[in-house]
Amino acid sequence: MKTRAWIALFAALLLVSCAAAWYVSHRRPADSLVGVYQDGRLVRCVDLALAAEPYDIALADGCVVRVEAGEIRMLSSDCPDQICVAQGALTGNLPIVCVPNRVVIRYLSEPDAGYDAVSGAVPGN
Amino acid sequence: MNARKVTTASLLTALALAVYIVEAQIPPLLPLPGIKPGLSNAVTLFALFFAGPGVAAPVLVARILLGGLLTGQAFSMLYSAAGGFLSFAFGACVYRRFPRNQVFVVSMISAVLHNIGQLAAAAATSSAAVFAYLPALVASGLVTGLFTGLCAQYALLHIGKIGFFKKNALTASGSFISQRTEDKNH
Repeated sequence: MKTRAWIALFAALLLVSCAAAWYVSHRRPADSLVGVYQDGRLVRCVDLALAAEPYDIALADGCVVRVEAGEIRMLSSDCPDQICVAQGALTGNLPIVCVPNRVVIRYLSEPDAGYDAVSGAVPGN
Repeated sequence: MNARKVTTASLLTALALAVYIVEAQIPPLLPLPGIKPGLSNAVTLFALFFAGPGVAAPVLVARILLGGLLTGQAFSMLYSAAGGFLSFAFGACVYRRFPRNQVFVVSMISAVLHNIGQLAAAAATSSAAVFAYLPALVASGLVTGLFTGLCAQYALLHIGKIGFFKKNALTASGSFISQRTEDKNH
Protein backbone atom coordinates (compact mmCIF):
# COMPACT_ATOMS: atom_id res chain seq x y z
CA MET A 1 0.00 0.00 0.00
CA LYS A 2 1.29 3.43 -0.82
CA THR A 3 2.52 5.67 1.92
CA ARG A 4 -0.16 8.23 1.20
CA ALA A 5 -2.82 5.62 1.62
CA TRP A 6 -1.43 4.72 5.02
CA ILE A 7 -1.30 8.36 6.03
CA ALA A 8 -4.91 8.83 4.99
CA LEU A 9 -5.92 5.73 6.89
CA PHE A 10 -4.17 6.84 10.06
CA ALA A 11 -5.58 10.35 9.80
CA ALA A 12 -9.07 8.93 9.53
CA LEU A 13 -8.45 6.57 12.43
CA LEU A 14 -7.11 9.41 14.52
CA LEU A 15 -10.18 11.53 13.81
CA VAL A 16 -12.55 8.71 14.62
CA SER A 17 -10.77 7.83 17.84
CA CYS A 18 -10.60 11.44 18.99
CA ALA A 19 -14.30 11.82 18.32
CA ALA A 20 -15.02 8.59 20.14
CA ALA A 21 -12.87 9.65 23.07
CA TRP A 22 -14.69 12.95 23.32
CA TYR A 23 -18.02 11.20 23.11
CA VAL A 24 -17.16 8.69 25.79
CA SER A 25 -15.94 11.31 28.20
CA HIS A 26 -18.88 13.65 27.81
CA ARG A 27 -21.88 11.41 27.53
CA ARG A 28 -23.37 11.20 30.95
CA PRO A 29 -25.84 8.48 31.81
CA ALA A 30 -29.30 9.51 32.88
CA ASP A 31 -29.16 8.31 36.44
CA SER A 32 -26.68 9.09 39.11
CA LEU A 33 -25.77 5.66 40.39
CA VAL A 34 -22.05 5.14 40.66
CA GLY A 35 -20.30 1.87 41.35
CA VAL A 36 -16.91 1.62 43.02
CA TYR A 37 -15.15 -1.56 42.00
CA GLN A 38 -12.00 -3.12 43.33
CA ASP A 39 -10.44 -6.21 41.81
CA GLY A 40 -13.43 -6.45 39.52
CA ARG A 41 -15.98 -6.69 42.33
CA LEU A 42 -18.48 -4.05 43.26
CA VAL A 43 -17.39 -2.73 46.60
CA ARG A 44 -19.67 0.22 47.04
CA CYS A 45 -22.69 1.64 45.34
CA VAL A 46 -23.25 5.38 45.60
CA ASP A 47 -26.24 7.41 44.55
CA LEU A 48 -24.91 10.89 43.85
CA ALA A 49 -28.36 12.43 43.95
CA LEU A 50 -28.83 11.33 47.54
CA ALA A 51 -25.45 12.37 48.88
CA ALA A 52 -26.42 15.22 51.17
CA GLU A 53 -23.13 15.91 52.88
CA PRO A 54 -19.58 15.24 51.69
CA TYR A 55 -18.12 11.96 52.89
CA ASP A 56 -15.15 9.78 52.19
CA ILE A 57 -14.88 6.13 51.31
CA ALA A 58 -11.61 4.50 52.24
CA LEU A 59 -10.74 1.54 50.07
CA ALA A 60 -8.61 -1.41 50.98
CA ASP A 61 -5.40 -0.40 49.25
CA GLY A 62 -4.83 3.15 50.30
CA CYS A 63 -7.31 4.85 47.99
CA VAL A 64 -9.74 7.38 49.37
CA VAL A 65 -12.83 8.30 47.38
CA ARG A 66 -14.72 11.47 48.16
CA VAL A 67 -18.38 12.06 47.41
CA GLU A 68 -19.60 15.65 47.57
CA ALA A 69 -21.99 18.00 45.81
CA GLY A 70 -23.24 15.37 43.39
CA GLU A 71 -19.74 14.42 42.26
CA ILE A 72 -17.41 11.60 43.04
CA ARG A 73 -13.64 11.75 42.73
CA MET A 74 -10.49 10.04 43.88
CA LEU A 75 -9.25 12.13 46.75
CA SER A 76 -5.96 10.43 47.38
CA SER A 77 -4.13 7.30 46.42
CA ASP A 78 -0.80 5.68 47.09
CA CYS A 79 -0.09 4.95 43.45
CA PRO A 80 3.06 6.42 41.87
CA ASP A 81 1.44 8.20 38.93
CA GLN A 82 -1.53 9.87 40.64
CA ILE A 83 -3.44 9.87 37.38
CA CYS A 84 -6.60 8.82 39.17
CA VAL A 85 -6.36 11.80 41.50
CA ALA A 86 -5.56 14.25 38.73
CA GLN A 87 -8.59 13.15 36.76
CA GLY A 88 -10.96 14.97 39.05
CA ALA A 89 -14.64 14.27 39.21
CA LEU A 90 -16.29 11.43 37.37
CA THR A 91 -17.85 12.68 34.15
CA GLY A 92 -19.46 10.78 31.36
CA ASN A 93 -18.68 7.21 30.58
CA LEU A 94 -14.99 7.50 31.22
CA PRO A 95 -14.30 5.70 34.47
CA ILE A 96 -11.84 6.78 37.09
CA VAL A 97 -9.26 4.04 37.16
CA CYS A 98 -6.39 3.44 39.52
CA VAL A 99 -4.56 0.59 37.83
CA PRO A 100 -2.02 -0.25 40.56
CA ASN A 101 -4.81 -0.59 43.10
CA ARG A 102 -7.23 -2.12 40.60
CA VAL A 103 -9.92 0.41 41.44
CA VAL A 104 -12.57 1.42 38.91
CA ILE A 105 -15.22 4.06 39.57
CA ARG A 106 -17.93 4.39 37.00
CA TYR A 107 -21.57 5.10 36.41
CA LEU A 108 -23.74 2.05 36.61
CA SER A 109 -25.63 1.62 33.40
CA GLU A 110 -29.01 -0.02 33.16
CA PRO A 111 -27.88 -3.61 32.49
CA ASP A 112 -25.81 -3.48 35.63
CA ALA A 113 -28.67 -2.25 37.73
CA GLY A 114 -29.31 -5.75 38.97
CA TYR A 115 -26.32 -5.65 41.27
CA ASP A 116 -24.57 -8.90 41.93
CA ALA A 117 -23.03 -7.74 45.12
CA VAL A 118 -23.40 -4.65 47.23
CA SER A 119 -21.32 -4.92 50.35
CA GLY A 120 -23.84 -3.74 52.83
CA ALA A 121 -23.45 -0.06 52.04
CA VAL A 122 -26.50 2.13 52.18
CA PRO A 123 -26.61 4.46 49.17
CA GLY A 124 -25.97 8.01 50.16
CA ASN A 125 -24.60 7.16 53.57
CA MET B 1 23.63 -16.13 18.38
CA ASN B 2 27.06 -15.02 17.30
CA ALA B 3 29.24 -12.38 18.85
CA ARG B 4 28.07 -9.61 16.57
CA LYS B 5 24.44 -10.22 17.38
CA VAL B 6 25.14 -10.37 21.07
CA THR B 7 27.10 -7.14 20.92
CA THR B 8 24.45 -5.40 18.89
CA ALA B 9 21.71 -6.59 21.21
CA SER B 10 23.66 -5.49 24.27
CA LEU B 11 24.32 -2.03 22.91
CA LEU B 12 20.72 -1.57 21.90
CA THR B 13 19.47 -2.84 25.26
CA ALA B 14 21.66 -0.35 27.07
CA LEU B 15 20.36 2.41 24.83
CA ALA B 16 16.75 1.37 25.31
CA LEU B 17 17.18 1.25 29.08
CA ALA B 18 18.79 4.67 29.20
CA VAL B 19 15.95 6.18 27.19
CA TYR B 20 13.37 4.32 29.26
CA ILE B 21 14.73 5.46 32.58
CA VAL B 22 14.98 9.08 31.52
CA GLU B 23 11.46 8.98 30.18
CA ALA B 24 10.20 7.42 33.40
CA GLN B 25 11.19 10.59 35.23
CA ILE B 26 8.72 12.63 33.23
CA PRO B 27 5.36 12.86 35.02
CA PRO B 28 2.23 11.92 33.08
CA LEU B 29 1.19 14.67 30.72
CA LEU B 30 -2.46 13.73 30.59
CA PRO B 31 -4.63 12.30 33.35
CA LEU B 32 -5.16 9.16 31.36
CA PRO B 33 -3.55 5.88 32.29
CA GLY B 34 -1.10 4.29 29.93
CA ILE B 35 -0.21 7.32 27.86
CA LYS B 36 3.52 7.62 27.58
CA PRO B 37 5.81 8.78 24.79
CA GLY B 38 7.29 5.29 24.60
CA LEU B 39 10.58 6.53 23.22
CA SER B 40 12.44 3.33 24.04
CA ASN B 41 10.25 1.59 21.50
CA ALA B 42 12.14 3.49 18.85
CA VAL B 43 15.17 1.45 19.85
CA THR B 44 13.22 -1.80 19.71
CA LEU B 45 11.90 -0.85 16.31
CA PHE B 46 15.38 0.00 15.12
CA ALA B 47 16.64 -3.34 16.38
CA LEU B 48 13.84 -5.16 14.61
CA PHE B 49 14.48 -3.61 11.23
CA PHE B 50 18.22 -3.56 11.55
CA ALA B 51 18.96 -6.95 12.97
CA GLY B 52 15.73 -8.90 12.90
CA PRO B 53 13.45 -10.29 15.60
CA GLY B 54 16.17 -12.55 16.96
CA VAL B 55 17.99 -9.50 18.27
CA ALA B 56 15.00 -7.26 18.88
CA ALA B 57 13.17 -9.74 21.10
CA PRO B 58 15.92 -9.97 23.75
CA VAL B 59 16.29 -6.20 23.62
CA LEU B 60 12.59 -5.79 24.35
CA VAL B 61 12.45 -8.40 27.09
CA ALA B 62 15.58 -7.11 28.79
CA ARG B 63 14.30 -3.54 28.64
CA ILE B 64 10.97 -4.48 30.18
CA LEU B 65 12.53 -6.53 32.97
CA LEU B 66 15.44 -4.30 33.82
CA GLY B 67 13.53 -1.11 33.21
CA GLY B 68 10.80 -2.17 35.59
CA LEU B 69 13.32 -3.10 38.25
CA LEU B 70 15.49 -0.03 37.82
CA THR B 71 12.64 2.45 37.88
CA GLY B 72 11.09 0.78 40.87
CA GLN B 73 7.85 0.04 39.06
CA ALA B 74 7.96 -3.70 38.99
CA PHE B 75 4.19 -3.68 39.15
CA SER B 76 3.75 -2.16 35.73
CA MET B 77 5.94 -4.82 34.13
CA LEU B 78 2.90 -6.99 33.62
CA TYR B 79 1.20 -4.35 31.56
CA SER B 80 4.35 -3.46 29.65
CA ALA B 81 4.87 -7.12 28.87
CA ALA B 82 1.32 -7.62 27.66
CA GLY B 83 1.46 -4.62 25.40
CA GLY B 84 5.01 -5.27 24.30
CA PHE B 85 4.31 -8.87 23.41
CA LEU B 86 1.35 -8.00 21.23
CA SER B 87 3.07 -5.17 19.42
CA PHE B 88 6.28 -7.12 18.96
CA ALA B 89 4.44 -10.16 17.60
CA PHE B 90 2.88 -7.92 15.00
CA GLY B 91 6.17 -6.26 14.14
CA ALA B 92 8.02 -9.54 13.85
CA CYS B 93 5.42 -10.88 11.44
CA VAL B 94 5.29 -7.93 9.07
CA TYR B 95 8.66 -6.21 9.21
CA ARG B 96 9.85 -7.75 5.98
CA ARG B 97 6.95 -6.41 3.99
CA PHE B 98 7.42 -2.72 4.58
CA PRO B 99 9.92 -0.62 2.65
CA ARG B 100 12.32 1.78 4.27
CA ASN B 101 10.01 4.77 4.09
CA GLN B 102 7.14 3.01 5.85
CA VAL B 103 8.78 2.07 9.11
CA PHE B 104 6.55 4.62 10.77
CA VAL B 105 3.51 2.66 9.58
CA VAL B 106 4.67 -0.43 11.43
CA SER B 107 5.45 1.75 14.42
CA MET B 108 2.01 3.36 14.54
CA ILE B 109 0.21 0.05 14.30
CA SER B 110 2.53 -1.50 16.87
CA ALA B 111 1.97 1.39 19.24
CA VAL B 112 -1.80 1.03 19.00
CA LEU B 113 -1.51 -2.70 19.57
CA HIS B 114 0.76 -2.04 22.52
CA ASN B 115 -1.89 0.14 24.12
CA ILE B 116 -4.58 -2.42 23.40
CA GLY B 117 -2.47 -5.10 25.03
CA GLN B 118 -1.97 -2.92 28.10
CA LEU B 119 -5.68 -2.21 28.23
CA ALA B 120 -6.49 -5.88 28.00
CA ALA B 121 -4.14 -6.64 30.88
CA ALA B 122 -5.71 -3.85 32.93
CA ALA B 123 -9.17 -5.15 32.12
CA ALA B 124 -8.13 -8.60 33.26
CA THR B 125 -6.93 -7.32 36.62
CA SER B 126 -9.46 -4.55 37.22
CA SER B 127 -12.64 -4.65 35.18
CA ALA B 128 -13.73 -4.47 31.57
CA ALA B 129 -14.87 -0.90 32.15
CA VAL B 130 -11.34 0.29 31.43
CA PHE B 131 -12.04 -0.23 27.74
CA ALA B 132 -13.77 3.12 27.85
CA TYR B 133 -10.22 4.40 27.44
CA LEU B 134 -9.74 2.60 24.16
CA PRO B 135 -10.43 5.56 21.85
CA ALA B 136 -8.07 7.81 23.78
CA LEU B 137 -5.36 5.17 23.80
CA VAL B 138 -5.76 4.48 20.09
CA ALA B 139 -5.37 8.17 19.39
CA SER B 140 -2.32 8.53 21.61
CA GLY B 141 -0.84 5.33 20.18
CA LEU B 142 -1.09 6.74 16.68
CA VAL B 143 0.61 9.96 17.70
CA THR B 144 3.41 8.44 19.78
CA GLY B 145 3.85 5.65 17.26
CA LEU B 146 4.36 8.19 14.53
CA PHE B 147 7.02 10.01 16.49
CA THR B 148 8.99 6.98 17.59
CA GLY B 149 8.57 5.42 14.15
CA LEU B 150 10.07 8.42 12.46
CA CYS B 151 12.95 8.39 14.94
CA ALA B 152 13.70 4.77 14.13
CA GLN B 153 13.18 5.34 10.43
CA TYR B 154 15.64 8.18 10.12
CA ALA B 155 18.16 6.32 12.25
CA LEU B 156 17.84 3.29 10.01
CA LEU B 157 18.28 5.32 6.88
CA HIS B 158 21.52 6.93 8.02
CA ILE B 159 23.10 4.42 10.34
CA GLY B 160 25.38 3.13 7.60
CA LYS B 161 27.62 6.12 8.10
CA ILE B 162 28.85 4.78 11.42
CA GLY B 163 31.74 2.36 11.17
CA PHE B 164 30.39 -0.34 13.42
CA PHE B 165 27.12 -0.46 11.53
CA LYS B 166 28.60 0.11 8.11
CA LYS B 167 29.12 -3.55 7.51
CA ASN B 168 25.45 -4.19 8.09
CA ALA B 169 24.13 -1.09 6.42
CA LEU B 170 21.03 -1.15 4.32
CA THR B 171 21.54 -2.74 0.96
CA ALA B 172 21.15 -0.62 -2.13
CA SER B 173 17.79 -2.08 -3.00
CA GLY B 174 16.41 -0.64 0.20
CA SER B 175 15.73 -3.84 2.05
CA PHE B 176 16.59 -3.81 5.68
CA ILE B 177 17.87 -7.29 6.11
CA SER B 178 21.62 -7.30 5.66
CA GLN B 179 23.15 -10.03 3.63
CA ARG B 180 25.17 -11.33 6.53
CA THR B 181 27.71 -12.76 4.13
CA GLU B 182 30.43 -12.12 6.64
CA ASP B 183 28.63 -14.10 9.28
CA LYS B 184 28.37 -17.07 6.98
CA ASN B 185 32.08 -16.95 6.42
CA HIS B 186 32.79 -17.32 10.10
